[in-house]
Order: sequence, then C-alpha cells, then structure tokens
Amino acid sequence: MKKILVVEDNEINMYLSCSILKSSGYEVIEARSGEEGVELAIKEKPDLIIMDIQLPGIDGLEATKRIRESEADGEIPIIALTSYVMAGGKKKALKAGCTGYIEKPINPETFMGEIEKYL
Amino acid sequence: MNKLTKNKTTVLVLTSAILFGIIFWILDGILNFYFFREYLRFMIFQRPETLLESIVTNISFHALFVRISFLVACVIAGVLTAIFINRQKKVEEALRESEEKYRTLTENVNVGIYRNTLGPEGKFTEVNPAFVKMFGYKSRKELLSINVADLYQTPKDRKKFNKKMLSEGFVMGEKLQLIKKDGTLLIGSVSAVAVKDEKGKVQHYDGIVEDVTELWQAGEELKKYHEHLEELVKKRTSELEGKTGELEQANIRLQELDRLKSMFIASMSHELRTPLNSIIGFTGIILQGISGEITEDQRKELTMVKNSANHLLTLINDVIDVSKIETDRVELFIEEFNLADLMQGVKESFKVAADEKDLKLSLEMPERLIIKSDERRVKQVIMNLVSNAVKFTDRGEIEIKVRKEDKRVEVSVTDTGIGIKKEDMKKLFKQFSRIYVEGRPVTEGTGLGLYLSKKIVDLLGGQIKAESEFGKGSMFTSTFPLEYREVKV
Repeated sequence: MKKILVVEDNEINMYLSCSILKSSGYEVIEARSGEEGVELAIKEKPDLIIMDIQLPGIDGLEATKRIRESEADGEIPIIALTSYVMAGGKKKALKAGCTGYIEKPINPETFMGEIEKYL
Repeated sequence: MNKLTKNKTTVLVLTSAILFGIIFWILDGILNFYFFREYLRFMIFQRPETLLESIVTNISFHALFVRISFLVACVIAGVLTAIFINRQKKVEEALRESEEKYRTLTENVNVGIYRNTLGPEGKFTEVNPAFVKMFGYKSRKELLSINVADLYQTPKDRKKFNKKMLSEGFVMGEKLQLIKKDGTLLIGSVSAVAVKDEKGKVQHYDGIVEDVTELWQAGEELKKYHEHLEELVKKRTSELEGKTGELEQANIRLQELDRLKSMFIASMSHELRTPLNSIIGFTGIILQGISGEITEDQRKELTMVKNSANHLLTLINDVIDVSKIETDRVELFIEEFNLADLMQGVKESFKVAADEKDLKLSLEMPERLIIKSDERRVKQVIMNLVSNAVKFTDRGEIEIKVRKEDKRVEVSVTDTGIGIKKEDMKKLFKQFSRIYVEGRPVTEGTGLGLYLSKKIVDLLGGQIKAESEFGKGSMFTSTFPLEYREVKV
C-alpha cells in the first residue's frame, strides 16, 4: 500500500483529503505543521506528499525546500495546494521544489486523477 | 492785396507826402527867409542893378532846385513812411489774427486754461470760460476775485503743488482734489508750467485743468471692487486652506480605510473560502459515494448544493479580482507556457457541461503554441468566454479557434446561442451589467465576468471584442501579445 503524507493545518481539509485518499486505497500520514511535515517526510519516506502552502510556522514552500535538501536519492513527488489569491503560486511552488500543484478548493471528482499523475 | 489795404496805402502815401510837404514847406520858408534876409542886406548895402541879377543868378535857380528837391524828397519820404507803416500794420494785424485764433481756441475748448500768480494764496490773472464753468462760477470776474487756494479742498495740497512747481518747473496730469463754488468735489487733472523771466525768476503759472471726477470715481469704485475681491479671495483662500487640511485628514483616513479594505479582502477571501473548501469537498465526497450509497433525490439535492457552492466561489473570486483591479493591485505572473495545453484544459473542464446540453464543443489550434504571459489570467479570460458560450447556447455548437498572428495570438469563441441585441452590446463589458432576455430564466452569474475579462486583457496588452446577431449566436474574440510587455500607464 502506497504511503501519502498530507501536510495541512486545517482539520476539515485534512479530513477531506484523508477521506478521498483512504477511499482510493492509500495509507495516509498526517502532519499539521511545516516542521512536522519535514520530520515525517524524512522519517517515513512517503511515496507522495500533499503540501499546503499556507501553514503556521514554516510555510509549505520552506518545508519543501528542507525536504529537498535532506533527500539523498530520488525525489518524492510533492504536490502543492495553492490558493487562488496567490499570484504566481505555481511558479513559486515549483521553484521551491514541488513536483506539481493543485489549486484549492479540492474537487473530489478530479483530485485523485491529479494525484495519480505523479505516482 | 485787397481793395481796402490798397486804399489805405494810397491814403497813407498821400498823408505822408502832405505831412512831409508841410515840414519841407516850413523848412523852405525858413530858407526863403534866409534868402530874403540876404536880399534885404543886399538891397541896403549893394547896388540896385545887381539886385535883379542876384535874384536871377542866385535865388531863382536856387529856389527852383530847392523846390524840386523838396518835392522829390517829399514823395520818397512819403512812400518810405507808407511802406514802413504798412509793414508795421501787417505785423500787428497778423498778431491780432493769431491772438484772435488762440483766444477763440481757449474760449471754446472744453479744458480749463488759467494763469495765476505765485504765493500761498495766489490769484488768477487769466481763466478761460471752460475754467469758469468747470468750477461753477458765474463769471470770469468772479473767479479772478478769489484766491487760487480757495479752490483746493485741503491747503496742504496747494503747498505741495507749489513746492513741486518751484522745484521741477512743471506738473503733468497731477490729480488734485478741488472744490467747486457749490462746495462739491472736483477731481482735476492739472498740467502746468512755471513761466520764468529772462533772469530765471518764476513769474506765474500757466496751466490746464481737466475734470476727471467721473473717471476718478469710477477708479475708486473699481478700487473698492478690487479690494472687495481681494478680501473675497483671501477669505476663499483661507477657506480652501481649511478645506485642504480637512482633505488631507480625509485622505489619511481614506488611505487607512484602503489599507483596512485590502486587509479585509485578503482575510475575507481566506475566511470565506475555507468553509467553501469543505462544502465543495464533502459534497463531492458524498456525491462520489465514498462515504456510502445515496438516493437519487439526495444526489439531486447535493448537486444543487455543490453548484451553489461553486457559484459562490466564483463570486468570491470575481469580487476579489475586481477589488484588486480597481486598486491596481493585480500582480501579474509572467512566464512562458504552452497555450495549447491551456486550451486543452479549458476544453476538458467544459466537456461535461457541453455534453449535458448536447452541444458540440470543438477546439482548433496549433499543437504547440508557446506564449509569454500570465497563464492563470489568460486561462481566466478564456474560461469566462467559453463558460458564457455554454451558458447561453441551447443547441448547436461552440467553436474555439486559436490563430497565431505576427506578434499576437487570437482566441475566438463562436457559439450558436441566443445572441445579443444591438442595444445591449455596449453594456457587455460593464461591471454588474447583466443582460436579460425575455422568456429565458435568469442565468446565474456575477455580472463581473466580461468586465473582469476586459480588464485583464487590457492589463496583458491585448484586446477583446464581441460580435453578435440576436437569435443566431455570438463570437467573442480576444487577442494576447505573444510576448507580454509591461505597459506604463
């Protein structure tokens, strides 16, 4: 079973992501801050990370950078959750080391399709 | 020479000749007396025979000569005198004529002309009728009897006037406050010269006075107006300064409000969207059956919830965009991207909606078309155009065509929808303008879509236009430069 790390501070969004991912048959690891996300990414070596950008403490971009720095071998796909109001969110996310991005709000109908492109 | 002067000359010559004749006759008499005396003496002391001889030889010729000489002398003297007298007369006449001319001039002219003596009081020695009339006196005589100083309103002015006349020798257009006989004010413009004798001593003043009372009064009136105006300007200026201060205060408050507004929008956009995330997300989950089977009714109702939530999301996004555009806070993110990918994505996202209405949705474009622009904003505009086409077309097809031109790319969206009436065309790109079509249910929308699209296209340096025939369909065409260049506004 593939492991997916979700870094998200909002409980509802976390529940939503987890529901979709679990129903599609993935194992989900939950992190509620950037720091926790970095720690779990290094420790658990997930197959994919879903990274919210707006996070308390270090944000998703910073967390992504740290994860990329810690990696010795192959990259873990990191999908950024960007917000509509953020200009150039995609570019910023890609620059920080993300593999792809999904604009919020999550649409359950297309969510898995987007994710599975990177697995 | 006229007849009169000719006669006069004749009289003169005759008179002079007669006069000289008398004088010479007397002289001749005296001379004759001398010869007579000589004769007597000869008669007494000489011989008588020699008397006749003496008369013939001496007196006759002598007398004849003397008389002829007298006559000639008389005529010459007469003529000379006549010429002299005549010339003198002519000079006098010319002088009199000239005097006459100037007298009539000074008498008829409308300017007061005067001559007066020096001294603190001063007396007029000459005034013209205009002067008399100007000051309201009965006669020239009456004026000559008063003092010059009596015509001044304040004695000081007379002193000043005298001082100036003595030091400079003249005044030009000096405005003096004078008094008429009836005591009313007369503003006189006086020009005068100090007339000097051979030794350089001032004899009297010759001058002219003009009545400029009305002019002066008008000037005073004007001055008053001017002062009033200045006062008014001062007052207004201070009022304006006050207003400026208020405005500055208001401006500071406005800036603060603007900052608060931006903060409000930023925070609201986040706060409003977070709950929407869960509404849209969980409706989706339930609709997909992830959390268990649902009935058809539930599906129908939940779909409505989802659609409403999506509409609300669009509304929020549009409002945020409008507020950004209106406060010039749109951040463009320019990068190279493949427009073909973007177009495919747009087509994909409308596939379901088009299928539901049984509309044919086609896309015609080059396989690869790299442009440099703001990808998300370009997508927003095209999404808006296609969304409108789908929304307002009930049967037929929607054609999306992308054409590369020299320096720009043209995206056109053509539909076979309801079309737009001519009178509604100009409302198209206005904010919150919605076009209602009779007999058609009000379509959901914010009334901001095309307004935003136009603003965004403007920002990106492109153009947007619409062509339509009511009842047949519409074509919206938007162009974007292949390479975005910042437009300095």
